[in-house]
Order: sequence, then structure tokens, then C-alpha cells
Amino acid sequence: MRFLRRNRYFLLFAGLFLVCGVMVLRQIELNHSAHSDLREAFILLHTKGYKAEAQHLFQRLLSGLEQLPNKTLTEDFQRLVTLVDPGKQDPENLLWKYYWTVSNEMEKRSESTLAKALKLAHEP
Amino acid sequence: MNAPSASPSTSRAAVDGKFFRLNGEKFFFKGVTYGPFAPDAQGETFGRKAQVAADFASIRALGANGVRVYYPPPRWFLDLALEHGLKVLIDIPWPKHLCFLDSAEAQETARETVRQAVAGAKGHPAVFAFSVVNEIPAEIVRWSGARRVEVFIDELIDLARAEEPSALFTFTSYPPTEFLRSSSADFICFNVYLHRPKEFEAYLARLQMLADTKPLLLGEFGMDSLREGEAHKCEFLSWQIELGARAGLAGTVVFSFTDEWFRGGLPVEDWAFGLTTRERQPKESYFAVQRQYQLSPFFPLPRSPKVSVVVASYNGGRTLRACLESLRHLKYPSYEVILVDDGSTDDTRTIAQAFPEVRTIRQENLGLSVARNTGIAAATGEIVAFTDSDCRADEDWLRYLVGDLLNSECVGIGGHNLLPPDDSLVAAAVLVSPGGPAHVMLTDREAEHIPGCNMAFYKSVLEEIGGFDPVFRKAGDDVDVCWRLQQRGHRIGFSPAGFVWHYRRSTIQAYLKQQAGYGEAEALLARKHPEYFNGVGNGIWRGRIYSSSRHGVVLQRSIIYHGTFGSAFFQTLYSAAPSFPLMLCTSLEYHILVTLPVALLSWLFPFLWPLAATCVLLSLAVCIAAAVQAELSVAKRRFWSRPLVALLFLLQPLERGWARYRLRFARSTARRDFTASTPSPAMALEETEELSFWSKGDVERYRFLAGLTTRLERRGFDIRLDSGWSNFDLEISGTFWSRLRLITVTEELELGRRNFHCRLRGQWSLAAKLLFLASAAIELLVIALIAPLKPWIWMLPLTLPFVALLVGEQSHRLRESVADELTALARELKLVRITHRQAQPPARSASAKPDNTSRPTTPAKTPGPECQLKESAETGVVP
Repeated sequence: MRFLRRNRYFLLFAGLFLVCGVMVLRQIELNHSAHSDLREAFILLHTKGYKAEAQHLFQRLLSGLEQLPNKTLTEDFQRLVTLVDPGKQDPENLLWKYYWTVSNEMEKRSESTLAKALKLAHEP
Repeated sequence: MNAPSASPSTSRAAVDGKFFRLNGEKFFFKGVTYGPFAPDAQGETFGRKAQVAADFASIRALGANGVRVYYPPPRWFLDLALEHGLKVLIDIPWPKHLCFLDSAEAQETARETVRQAVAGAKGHPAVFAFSVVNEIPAEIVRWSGARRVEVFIDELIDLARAEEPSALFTFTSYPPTEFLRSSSADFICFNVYLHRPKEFEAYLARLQMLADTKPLLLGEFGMDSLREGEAHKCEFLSWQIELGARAGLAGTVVFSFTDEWFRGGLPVEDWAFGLTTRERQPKESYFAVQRQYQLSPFFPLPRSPKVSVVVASYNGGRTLRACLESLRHLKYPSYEVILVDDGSTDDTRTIAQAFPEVRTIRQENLGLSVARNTGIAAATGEIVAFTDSDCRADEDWLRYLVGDLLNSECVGIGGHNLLPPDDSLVAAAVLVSPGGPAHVMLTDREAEHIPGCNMAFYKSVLEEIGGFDPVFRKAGDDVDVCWRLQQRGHRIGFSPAGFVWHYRRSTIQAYLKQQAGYGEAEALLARKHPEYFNGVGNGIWRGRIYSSSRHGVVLQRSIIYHGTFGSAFFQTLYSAAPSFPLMLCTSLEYHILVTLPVALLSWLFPFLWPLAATCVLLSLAVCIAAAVQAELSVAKRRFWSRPLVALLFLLQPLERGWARYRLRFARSTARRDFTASTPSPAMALEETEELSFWSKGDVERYRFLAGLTTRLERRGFDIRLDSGWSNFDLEISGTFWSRLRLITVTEELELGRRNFHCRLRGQWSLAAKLLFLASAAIELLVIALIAPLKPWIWMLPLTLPFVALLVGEQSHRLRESVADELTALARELKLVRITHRQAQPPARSASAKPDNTSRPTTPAKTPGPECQLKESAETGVVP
């Protein structure tokens, strides 16, 4: 009891740190699954011919694209590459447009990664 | 005022505070009821002219100066009254015993009857007043609804006044309808038949509370000679007239002049309320009333102790001359006036020179309390009365104040402070705005506190408590004195007739400055008497506030006790209190904790703006509602009056609250610095949480606590003592964020030795709790909004332990400081500090109860650390 009273602020901090840490991880997981749900809903609506609704979800996917982690971006790329023909340009197809946007985003990120790599290589 | 004027008065009486005034003199209505008699051939119920003239002569000989009649009299009757120097109170009869509000025709009949009655006596100088209705049956009021009846009475008075603007108007009530109020009536008129002095006196005090600032006339009282006997009637009427006058009534009317009485179409023969027989032979009671009316209204006081009237003034030159002039004309046998000029820089000194009879003491500006203490020191009277330079005393102020004080068991007394008729329109709006000086009543005769502009105390009791506390420089000294006297078991009384006229602040700026002063006084009072205040420093009044302001918006309807089937003889009104939650919406705390955060959030998150707008509109709506409900005088009302009152309702809590917090912050900062300078080395947490001492037995717990209280107060701590309901002995508010609760216990050991244990528990103050909860709430809101984008925001709550740590550190430092005081006190009392382990059972016996200090109980076997006393005497701590 004395230990608890003496260190109550530290224990409170530690307890909160634990809880907050768990909540951060849970939030990341939630965010990720929320994006996956959005993506799958977009694919489903597009496949079933709900053009307007699919267009709305497409816009939402685009608005959050820059914040997506690389892993999620790769997952999106891998999922879409099974649905569209990468070699054929099809700007009317929302799925192809999303695939093309994801691909561009990955390329953009790889350019910055490349730039960092080159910078490292030129360092003495 | 005592002797009725022999010459006919051709002018009309007017209301003057709690009394009437006629030809510049106070007019106490000493009346008898007259008639009605059997109607003559013309249907008139006033008898023959010759008989009336003879009766009026007899009434004059009685010492009366007025008659009350129950029908509008013919002009010749009024002419005769004028000739005999009598004023006439005229009742106007209409079918009030029917359900008149159910019938438009009955209402129109009432209106027409009133209009004709007033027109019939229009301009006649013998008319004293009209009563538009007398004793509406309680059942009819219950049937129609009290509010509707009140509105109808007001309507009748208003239309009568339109007919004859210079007359006085009222309606006559009685105990079964005592709840009826009329805002238009010039004075309150009541018929009361109570046969025992104690009940009669108590009921008059109640009626004075109901009458509030209006004159109270006893419209009927009397006794039946047949049933009670003439001797009993003499005694009864004698004490009724005396008690009525002592209670500060503006007039009394004995029922009736003669036994001859005609009612309901028949002569009444089995009642004999008259002072004369049907043949106009005076009864014994005639002479009894004659004796009393000669003395009335000023019956001799038991004694007339010298009174010192103290006026403390700081730059009060604007109204000082009127104040001193009024004090010059006080009707009291032995008094002196002491003006304490508290370093004024205006023309106070010049004005004072014009009053050579006034003792003027000039001092540097030291504040209101010091000035009043100077006045007390200079006073040579047994009683010291206080008023302010912005007041004008009624000529009988001291007579009533001292009379009521001597006739009670109180040590102090106060009275009304009324708005002078010549005060400005802004002052009238200020009168009904919040925060004015008011008396708070515990009962109809006992006050919880009284305003400083009208109060008197025995000098000895003021000296007993050391006078006014100099810490109160602008206000609050009166409340402090009242509370300190009550804490010593004394009582404070209230004199309804001992009133002063009080000029209110006549500009918004002056009003707000006054409220700022009151706010500071509140902060000081909250520090000194925390038991009278809630957590945020607002007063918790333990009685009913009497003032022209409602102090808020009343949402609920008043409740009337009618008795079973509406049969109660005394049907009492229980007024609804203003809505506290609604008034919170105008407080400074509401604006800072609710409106401001929501406004800031709505700036960040625009979808919240309707909420922010609602917060602001709620405050405004409450202020507007309060202004609409304010009882503004018709004569002083203009189109801008209510908007001004609404504005003052909005600004007053802000100004007063700001001043209160400013002072509290300043004091808590000072205390924090003081606490930090405590020289002793820091103690371990456990060492400061529970301290134990051993005593040879010559120190008791109460002495120990008293010593500790004195020491802590001397060092500037705010202390709240256990009021009997707490599970602690002292609550010490050391800093703004924390407070400490101390509980002590004594263990009785053998040979009369004792162990004292003191437990100090830190508590967060309300401000700290609010800060913590607000921080947590804001952080959760931010998390809810940002977490989907930035998951790391979940780490924000890690700041909360630091908030707790900061508050805990304050609490720890306060505990250290108090523990130091405890140790120093123990050393002073030659107690020996013992460690927690040494104080463990078996030393701790079954007698270890907080309230069993001195009661001898079974001593424990452990002798206590006596053997170690010598070696620890220097340090006070047993190793």
C-alpha cells in the first residue's frame, strides 16, 4: 500500500501509457481495416454497376491515399492488379483509375526512397 | 403625530415609506369603523346628519383622526368629517361574495361601482383612501384562482386611480386570503381578529414581512362585549393598540364605534363590538381606547438609552448633506452623531462644518471597517447605530430601531433601506437589479444578516467581538459582524418600521464599481466563513432574501396552503425560489467553463457553432426573463428601464465574479509563496500524513485544536471548522488547487496520559477537480476528432498524470507546512512526537474515538514513551 501511495503518479503514468499504447495500436488496426472495408466496398459497387456510389467511394479513397502506409498501398496494388489489365489503358474504368493512382503514388514514394538512397551513396 | 389635529386638514395623505404623511407631518391613522346603519327612506346607511355630527364629536373626543365606512358616503358626510378633522377610509362594496370572475356582467358591475364611488367623493379633502374590495371569501378566490383575482384587484385600483389620481387606494384582506397581493395598492390593509397577544404580535410581524416596503394598516380589530365581557375587551383593545403601534403599523382601526350595526337587511343585535352602546353611551372600552389613542403611536420605551449614530463616509459629499440633515431631525431623546471622514478628497469636510452638533473625526483612508471602528471607539452611547452617507434616515428611525431592540432578546437590529422618491430613474432600475443591499430573514422577526446602511448594536457586544474586521475595506463588514455574533449565540432582529432612504447608484459605472467591491467582500467572507459559501464562492443564504430584486428568474408557481377544502383560517403563500440552474447560466463560471470553450471549439470545428450560439442566447434569455419579472415601480419606469435591468443582470455576475476571483487568486498566490518559504526540511510523505504525539495528560484535544487553529489563522490559512456534520476537525484551504483535512483522535492511557493522533488528508479543490476533468474532456474530444487520421494522438492522456502531479505537489507542500505547525504547537504544549510504530496497539485502546477526548475510559496497559521523554525534549521527536 505504501508503495502504491508513494509512487501513485508514476504508476498512473505507467498504467495510462499501457492503455494509450494499446489504444494507438488498436486505432492503427481500426484505420487499416476501415480502409480495406472502403476499398472492398468500392470494388463491389463498381462491379455491380453502382456507378455514382462507386464514384463517391473512389473520391474518398483518393482523399486518404497520401496518408496510407506503404504496406496498405501495396495491398491495394496487389488487390487491384487482379481486377484490371495493367497493360491496357482504360480511363473510363474507376478500378483502373484507382489502380493507376495507386501505382503512381507508389512510384512517387519509390522516387523519394531512391533520392534518399542516392544521397546516402554520395555521402563520404 | 400623537395628538390629532384639531383643525380640518384640506390636503390629502400620501405614502411616505412605511407610513403616511399629511401636511408635511407623519400621519398615523387612528380610526374606528362607522356603520352601516339601517337605511333611511332614501336608502342611505349613514343615519341622520345630527346623529353623525354628534358621533363625530365623540370620535374626536376618543382621540381618533379617522373613520372607516363600508359604503361610499354622501358629500354631506364627508363635509362633516372634514369639519371634525376626520379622514375617511371608504370601502366600496360590490358582489365579491359571488363568483365574479365567472361573469363579465359581475365584473362590469364591480368596475362601475368602484368608478362611481370614487367619482362621488372626487376631490374631497376628507377622503383618506379607498378600499376597492373588502374580504373576498377565500373559497371564491380558490375557485377563480388567486392570480386572476389579483389581476382584477389591480385593474379596479388602476381604473379608480385614473378617476382620482391624488387619492390612496388599497384592498382589504384578512388571514384566509393573506396570500393575495396587489402591485397597484398604495398600502396594505388587513382585518385581524386574534385574542392572544403572543399570536397577535407574531402575526403582525408576518404581515409586516408581507407588506415589505409598503405601509401596513390594521383595517379592523375588536372584541364582542357580550361574549368576552367589557373588562376583557378593555384589556384586549389596550394591548392590541399598543402592540400594533410598537409593530410599526401605519394605522389602526377599531371595530366599531357603536353597537348599532345593520347587516344583510337586518339589525345585528347579538353582537356588541362597539365602543359605545346603540344609544351612544360610552362603554368602558371607549375610555380604554381613548387612553391608548392619546399615546399612540409612540408608547413609552422601557428606557431610552443613548444612541451614537456613526456615519462612515469616503467621498460621499454628493449625499452627505441630506444624510446629516435627516439625522439632525431624529425624534429620539438622547443621541449623538459621529461622522468618520475616511480620508475623503471631496467636499466632505466643508459639508461637515455646516453641522456643528456632529462630531467629525478625520482619518486617513483605511477602509469602511476601520472607519466604523473609529466611530465605535468614539461613541459614548450604549447603542451604536450605523448608516451611510448615501442614506437619509426617517425621523422615527431610532425610535423604532431602539424600541424593537429593547423589546427583543437580540443584540443587534436592522431595518429597511428604501429607494427615495427623488432618486433617479437609473437608480430605480438598479434597485431591482441583482446585488443590492438586502436583509436575509430567518423568521419574521429574526434576521440572518442586515445591511450596513441601517443597523444598530449594543456597543458592548461590538467590543466583545473586537468590532468590525479591518480586512473589509469596502463592504462585507456588516455580514461578517452578524455572522460572528450569531456564532457566539447572539441573535439579530429586524425592525420593519425603522427605515432609512438609500440612494442607489445612479450610473452603470458606479453600480458595477459597487458590485466589484461586493465581489471582493464576498471573497473575503468566503475565506473567513467558508461554511456560508459553496465551492465556487457563491453565498448560501440560510434564510429568505428580502429586497426589491427577485435575484433571478422564477419558473415555478407559488404554492398556497388552502387547508382541507379551502377551509384554513390562515392560508399561507409559499413563494417559489428563483431557479438556481438558470441563474448559473449568467455566472462568470458558466461563461468561462462553457461559453468560451464551446466558442473556441466552434471556431476550430464550425459544426459546433449552433451550440456556441445556444450558450450565449441562453444567458441573454435568462437576463431578459429576469428583467421582465423585475418589479419596477410604475412611476419610475421608462421604455429603457427593463432593457437596462437585463443588461445589469448580464454584467453584474461578470463584474462581481471577476472581482471575487481576482482577490482569491491574489490571496492564493500569496499563500503559495508563503508555503514555499517554509524553512523546515521536507518530510517524507508518510511523516506528514499522520503525526502522533504523547502527552502527560495536561493537554486536551480541544485545546490542541484551538491552538492549532490560532496558529494557522495567524499564518494566513483559510480554515473551516467542523460544523457538526463533517468527518474532519478542520479543513485548511492553503492553495488554490488543494486543501487539507485534519482529523484528530485521543487515546487515553493509564495515569491520565494521552496519545494524540493527527491525520492530514490532502484533497483537491473544486478548481483542481474542474481543471482535471476539463483537461480530460478536451483531450478525449481531440482524440475522437483526430485519432482516425493520427493514431498517435491517443498518447495525449499521458499529460494527465502531470496535472495530477502538479496538484499533488501543491497538496504535499501544504501538508508539510501544516505538519510543521503541528510539530511546533506540540513543542509549545510540551507534547512528545512519537513515531507511527510506537503508537500502534496495544497502546491504542477502545476509547480511540474522535469525539471522546476528555471522557475517562479504560486505560491501556502500555505506559507510552515516557522513558524517552528526556532525550527527545529538545527536538520534540522520539527517535
